[in-house]
Amino acid sequence: MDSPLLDVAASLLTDLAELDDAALESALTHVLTPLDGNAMRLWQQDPPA
Amino acid sequence: MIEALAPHQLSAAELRGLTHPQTDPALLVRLRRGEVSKHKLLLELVRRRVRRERPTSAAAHLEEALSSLNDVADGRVGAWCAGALAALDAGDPVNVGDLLHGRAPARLRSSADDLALEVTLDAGDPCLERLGLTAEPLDVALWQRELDAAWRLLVTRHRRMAEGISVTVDRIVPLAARPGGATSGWAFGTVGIGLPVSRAEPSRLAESLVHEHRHLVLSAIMDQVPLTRAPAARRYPSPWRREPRPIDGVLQGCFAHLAVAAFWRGGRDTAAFEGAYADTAAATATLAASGALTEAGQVIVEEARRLLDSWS
Repeated sequence: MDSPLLDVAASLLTDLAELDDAALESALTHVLTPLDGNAMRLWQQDPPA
Repeated sequence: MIEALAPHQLSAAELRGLTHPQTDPALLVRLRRGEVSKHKLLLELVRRRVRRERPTSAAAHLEEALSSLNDVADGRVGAWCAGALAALDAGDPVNVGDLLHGRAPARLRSSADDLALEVTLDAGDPCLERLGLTAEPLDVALWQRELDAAWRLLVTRHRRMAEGISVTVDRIVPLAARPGGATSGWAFGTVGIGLPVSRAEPSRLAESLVHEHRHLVLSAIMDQVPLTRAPAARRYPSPWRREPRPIDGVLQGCFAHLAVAAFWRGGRDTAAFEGAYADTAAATATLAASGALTEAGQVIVEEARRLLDSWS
């Protein structure tokens, strides 16, 4: 399954300036979703066993 | 060249492999690579927003910090980005100083049968404070002893799980809650753990490592492919909480407790296994009937169900 997350692991931070805004936001589609609503991925504290 | 960038990919077979508590460590290394991509893209997003929305001096301060950043893979970088984006949304200051370490947290190293776990023991990182109240004062020697015993047990009884943890977990935030556990999808590699009240019980700390590790794995998968599609307000029963939970919470519980069941399986504590097994089975039934899973989410839940069936 393709992910929108671009593989920039080997890229220099400075190289990412070449990405246009739309491509950058698209690459982070699933990463940024929790900021809008479901906080489950943000900080999850387990209940006592 | 940026134009030639490829997306990360996870096949159905890889999702099944990641669901298995004895995940191939090579798959986890690939997930970590995805998290490095995430951190770099998030830093670029923060950089652009600061440049657009804040004074020139703030942008210059951030550029200076970015040029000094020597470990983009560190989970605290993701946590800092999450805080920075929230601050930008709220019109609050972006705390650039928190991005750089400037501290020297304790290092722990445990080794058994040529397999080592190396972590920082870090109680004072402002980027990670939302994991929970940290233990004070910090007894590093006690943590080293407890981790040595837990690691020996893990390597001896569950080597494959230990291999997975060794390539994933690189920081423990010692929590005041005992027992306690916490993770964040923003901080890959970091687990919050409270030492069990009853010491000399290495299996409890080992179980916590297994449990929290699996939360990290599922969160990293979710960064790449959506697993659920329920409205944020919808709630579902969870075997681990009194109150109904969002579908992602039920899935997180299922994923982590599947590994907890695997941890106790075949051991002397049959009640611990049976409890984890029954709760995880109930969660898979809830998830399967929810209609809230994507195709990738279904792959994971079906694999969890298949594993449980094979253990009954």
